[in-house]
Amino acid sequence: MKPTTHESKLNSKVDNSESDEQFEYALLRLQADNESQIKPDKNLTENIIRSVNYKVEQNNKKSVNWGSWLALSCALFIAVISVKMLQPEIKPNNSYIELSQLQVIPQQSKPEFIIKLEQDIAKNRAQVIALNQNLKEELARLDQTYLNRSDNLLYSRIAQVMQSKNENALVFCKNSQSFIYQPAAQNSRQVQVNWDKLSRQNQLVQVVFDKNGKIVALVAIEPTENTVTCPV
Amino acid sequence: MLKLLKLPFWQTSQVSSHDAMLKFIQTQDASWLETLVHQHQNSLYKFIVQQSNPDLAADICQQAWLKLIEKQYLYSAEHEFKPWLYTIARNLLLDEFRRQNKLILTGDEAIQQADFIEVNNEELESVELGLYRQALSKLAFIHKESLLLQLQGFSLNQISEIVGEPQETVKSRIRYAKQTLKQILLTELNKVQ
Repeated sequence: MKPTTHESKLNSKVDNSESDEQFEYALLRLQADNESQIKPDKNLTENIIRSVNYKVEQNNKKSVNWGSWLALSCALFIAVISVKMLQPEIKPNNSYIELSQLQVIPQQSKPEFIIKLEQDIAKNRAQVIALNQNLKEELARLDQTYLNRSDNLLYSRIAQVMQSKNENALVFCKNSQSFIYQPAAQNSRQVQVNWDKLSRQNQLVQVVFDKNGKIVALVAIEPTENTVTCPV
Repeated sequence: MLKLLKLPFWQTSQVSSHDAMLKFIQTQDASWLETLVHQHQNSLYKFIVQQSNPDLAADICQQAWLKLIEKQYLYSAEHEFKPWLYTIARNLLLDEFRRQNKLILTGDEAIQQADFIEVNNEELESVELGLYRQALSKLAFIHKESLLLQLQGFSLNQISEIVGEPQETVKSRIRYAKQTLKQILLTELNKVQ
């Protein structure tokens, strides 16, 4: 009996599928045989392991080198930071502070160099006593004068704001003691002071002390031909 | 083999290749790589040599392992070790073919290998195997590599990763390779008979 077209197609499909399976099987077998005959050089694996070990060793050495450089850099960095931190803190002197003539300068607003100056004066009692003695004598003298109002007088000296060792400093002029009549100056306007600018200009200022020798105010003196430097 | 003994037994017997590679990356201990070389070098060589020649295959394998050390930072937990190693080796082989101008680019079917493995009939144990080798050597590079990878047990997904092509492309390449191989083998067998 002759198979129908449909049956032939089915048979052919089954045949193909069987043939494919056989081929797949043959392929696997042939490839297995083929690979089993491939023999790499006996020394190849050992050579590769030697190269790999060498490369890893080199890498490790490199990373150790990097590590030591890194450690050195860190140590250097820490040393620099430490040196910076060990240095005395320098407060900026060029900050603007409010100053009112004959008004006590708040402690926190005082620039570093003024605080230092006050500390120096406090340490040197003789200087303070001398200042006070001088003040007393002057007051005593003035008591005899027309002012006769010594309670309202404040001792002052003229000084120059100058740069000294990269810091601002007040350098007192010789023989520049004078007295300021307190009530007359009380209404003076507040000014902003840029100490760096003043020191660059060697600005002359009148330093006003209270009766205890404490600086209470600085009065800028307008520069004129005669007052660019300390008056002689 | 003696070097393997340096590792505790669980490192060589129970640790997967993937874990061994991760261990190597963590510790930079070359003994982990030695384990991997022992596990994969032979199959890698067989894959490469069937597409080149023994000298070139040895050279490519050596380069591949060194490249693997260089590129270790690219290896992550998502990777599979063997496909990754094969990808490196395959890229080196292609670079070498390009350097030697042994690749002919022909459109989509991209790469044909111009230099085939030498078949020494004297070494062949059977005519059938000899014919198979000859037929294999006539396959285009891209078809042969996908077929060889499948015959080495790689999944479609892994082959796709190694050759850098979508799975469908890989599937059709393997199908084409098998068809061609079948045709060549049948023709040659008919000639012999």
